[in-house]
Amino acid sequence: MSEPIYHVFADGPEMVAPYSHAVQDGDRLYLTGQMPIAADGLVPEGIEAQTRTVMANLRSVMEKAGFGDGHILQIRIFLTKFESHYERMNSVYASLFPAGRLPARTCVGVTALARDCCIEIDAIVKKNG
Amino acid sequence: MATRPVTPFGGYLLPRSTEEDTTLTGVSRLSPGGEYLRRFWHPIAMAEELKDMPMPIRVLGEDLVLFRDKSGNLGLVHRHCSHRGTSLEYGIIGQRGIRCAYHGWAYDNDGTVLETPSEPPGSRLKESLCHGAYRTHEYEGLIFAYMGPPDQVPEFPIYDTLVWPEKNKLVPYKLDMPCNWLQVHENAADPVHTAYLHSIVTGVQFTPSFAALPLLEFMETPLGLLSIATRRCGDNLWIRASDVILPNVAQFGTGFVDGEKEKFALCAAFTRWITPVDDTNCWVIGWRHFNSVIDPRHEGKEEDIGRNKIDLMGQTDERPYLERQKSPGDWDAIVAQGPVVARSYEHLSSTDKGVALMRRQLKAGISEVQAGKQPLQPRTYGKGITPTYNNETILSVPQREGDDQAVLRAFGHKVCATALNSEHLPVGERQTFVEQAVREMLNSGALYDGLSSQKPKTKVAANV
Repeated sequence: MSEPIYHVFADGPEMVAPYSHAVQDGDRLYLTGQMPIAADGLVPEGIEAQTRTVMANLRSVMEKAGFGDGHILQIRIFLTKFESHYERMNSVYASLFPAGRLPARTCVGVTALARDCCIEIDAIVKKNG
Repeated sequence: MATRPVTPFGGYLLPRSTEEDTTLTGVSRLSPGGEYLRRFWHPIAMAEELKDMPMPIRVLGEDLVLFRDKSGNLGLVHRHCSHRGTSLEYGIIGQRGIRCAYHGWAYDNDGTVLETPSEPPGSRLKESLCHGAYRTHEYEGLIFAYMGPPDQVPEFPIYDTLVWPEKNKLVPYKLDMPCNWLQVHENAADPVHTAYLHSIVTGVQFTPSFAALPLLEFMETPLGLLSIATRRCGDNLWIRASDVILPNVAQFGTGFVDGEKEKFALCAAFTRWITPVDDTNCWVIGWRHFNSVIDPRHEGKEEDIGRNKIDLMGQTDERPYLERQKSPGDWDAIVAQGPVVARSYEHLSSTDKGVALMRRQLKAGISEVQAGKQPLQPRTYGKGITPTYNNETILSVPQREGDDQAVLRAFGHKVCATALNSEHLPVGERQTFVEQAVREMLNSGALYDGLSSQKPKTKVAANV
């Protein structure tokens, strides 16, 4: 059985704690929860833009790990303002996936996230082919 | 302003705990400001917020319930049942009106008591009282309320910017602000903050053109005042003139002007009210306008507009605290003034003439109400449309030798005075008229009247 691969990318999304961007176990990739920190180091305003930024960060990690066209099997979403952001997050979430390929999903409200962010999303991805 | 000691390290010597004057800031019933505000229509909700359940809502310090009955009519009633005070947010919406869940009293949308089912047959109880209710009006996705004396309902004002240009699309939005309404509204009469807060101090938040310090003029209008900020952007002069309409309405141009392309837009990108929730909370509520006159390059983002979201940076608390500390927006600057600005500690300066004028106008309105009169209401012309003066005007007026500030002043003043003096014209025609008049002024050299020399300056100074 092959050893897991610990992916850390110098040009990956900003690291805010000790972790790897993703850990690969064979054809599975376990992604660290991403924050809505854009490439310019800023957090955009509005949960919609933040949701898009988090998903873009996850996609960039997938690509760097060679899982660019992988299947996202499972997503976990964490929101600090569940009541006011749940529907707004959903309004952009679905548009970020190809039709008919929505991952299994859990979404929970939490008290706080790193860097005072309002949203964090992690994912498990299966290699395509 | 009281005299204060000018003493370094003298924090200890400055006055403390002054009792603040609440004449302008108070919003509750019987307070001077609250009575004045109750003489106007105010937007209280986006229509899309109101689903099939009663919506508890607080407006002007009053706890209310907003609902749409099964006939489609809106109701806005005092929250606590006239019987024994249970909240009507638990009420059952009927074909007509709402029924209290506790003992079944039913109210029509105007407060008429329709039924008191637990009373014996023949009871006259329901004829003896009326539940508190207010008039509502729905317009372009916003729900408005009038909460003043029922015999003094003003006409619902339709500003010309709402109906022109043709095919103007109005997209409603509503933002929460945890502070008194007045400080949020005052921001509209303080255009110099757009250079500092949105550019010079914090980095560019809108476009680099905002960093040029504007020349200011505040013009009184039949509606309140026009806050005029004129900037030079290379060869072009750019006017951002914002309507500040009594008591709590304002209009603005876009946030993404780069000052490069000529533009005549006698219309608005934002029309918004500051509706008080109570003394220390309010909503910014209104519309973003989408049309190709104000936004020829279609830079607005309709999908980013709605409940607690707007396509302009810094208008909500939806960035992490550290981000907001690094580059604070309007929300941060205004909310951080405190729940109600302690105005006795202020030191108003030369750029605060607009704020001072607005306060004088509000005080005058309050005095009129206190004297038992109806305060100034928006005037209408023709088909019930209220002319406004908001404009975003960019024209090539190259710099010449002499005091360029005089040219800025003349340009800002003449364009806005023309907009003001042409208010009798129908919308559309008026835009054409103002554009022609301003181009004539330019061609005849009238914009350079303030300069002794009329020679073109060889080198054009860049402002940013």
